[in-house]
Amino acid sequence: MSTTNLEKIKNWNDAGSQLRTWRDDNVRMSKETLDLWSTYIAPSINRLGDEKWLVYEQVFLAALDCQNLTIAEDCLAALKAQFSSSKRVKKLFAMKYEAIEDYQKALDIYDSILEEDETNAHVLKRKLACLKAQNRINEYVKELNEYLKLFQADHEAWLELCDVYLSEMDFAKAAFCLEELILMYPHNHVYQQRYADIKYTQGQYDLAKTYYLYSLKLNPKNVRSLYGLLLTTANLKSSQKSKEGADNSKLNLWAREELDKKYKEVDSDRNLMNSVNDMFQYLAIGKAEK
Amino acid sequence: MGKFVLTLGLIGLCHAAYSATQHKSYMRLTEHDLDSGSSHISSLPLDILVQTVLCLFLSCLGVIQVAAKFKPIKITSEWENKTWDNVANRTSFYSFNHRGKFLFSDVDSENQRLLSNYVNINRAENISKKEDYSSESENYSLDEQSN
Repeated sequence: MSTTNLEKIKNWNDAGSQLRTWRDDNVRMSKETLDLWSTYIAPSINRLGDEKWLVYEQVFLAALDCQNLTIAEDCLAALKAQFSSSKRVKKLFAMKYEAIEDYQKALDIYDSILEEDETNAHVLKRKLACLKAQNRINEYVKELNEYLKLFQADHEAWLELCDVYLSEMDFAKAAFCLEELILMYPHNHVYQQRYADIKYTQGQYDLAKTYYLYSLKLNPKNVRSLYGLLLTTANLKSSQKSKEGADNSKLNLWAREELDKKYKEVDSDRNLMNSVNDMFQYLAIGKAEK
Repeated sequence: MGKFVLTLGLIGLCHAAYSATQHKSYMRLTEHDLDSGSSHISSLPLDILVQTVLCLFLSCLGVIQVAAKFKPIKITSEWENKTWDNVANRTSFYSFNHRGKFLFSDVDSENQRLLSNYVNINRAENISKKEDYSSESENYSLDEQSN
């Protein structure tokens, strides 16, 4: 998706709107952001009007991601000149220290901001991120839980906690975090699918099946859910008998047909279809042997 | 197209309003009772009424075309094209302690220094276990070929 779009960009205007899309859609693509910045945006930054401050911030973060400190300094200087007393800019200063792994200095700045404004969620989250960057996972989990007691509607933090628990293989707690997220965004198919993934990993195939099906109802294009359904039903089919087993075979067949259709839409190449069919057979056999 | 229709509609509406006031003042001059409302002479003539309704319809059409695109009505459509990559990208929890440092950094000299440090450390470690090192490097070259 990215490369085809990027080839079409010919001037600062296109580049600006591409950056805007990335900002709105929450896309990381730091290297590409920096490329767009240095080729198209930097020479005509003033044409962007008031949007340029947002672009400066975005490019600054991208530059830290790529450790391109020259560009980072440029953006920071521009922001500092415009918003000399802003806490948001102060936070960016601290993030620069994080990028060069001077966490103590970064934490000092965060603390000084928190003295003035102790409920600044962004800064609290940065402090947490510092712990994570230093790989102090135990403290990180504890502090993140404390943070979530204060800010219970922060979906980013719930997602973060879920990922940390997953990395520690604590599936029950990770599932709890996702339950919170599902309550917050009941129409997001990705959360439903993720929850089903966790339940599948825990071996609760019945629940996983329900959530995969729900995520497919919300968005029939979710291929990962189709695969999930294929695997859960294959597992259930082999362990159950009689009527329920028949239902599961039907679902299994349906998921397989849908996946078949999807692959044909993308590419009608014979080789790909053959290998996909081989894979289906392998999955079916693997489950049957179990 | 939309803008043209909108302008036409608005001009038409203004014209209808102007006509209506003119009609009213004409009625006053000819001393018809405006408030009674029962006599058909006092109410607006049919052409002004038709013009008002028509122009209102036209300007509605124009506004719809000029304003931004409609959002899909289904509640799930907002999330339809979201992928896990974007949903799970948590801007406020970014950490910069990752491979980007070595992949994209512009400071080549810094990279060189880090690389040479790394090589030196490895060399120092490997003097003691030369055997392991050689077998590892073989594996490494094999990997390179397969790639």
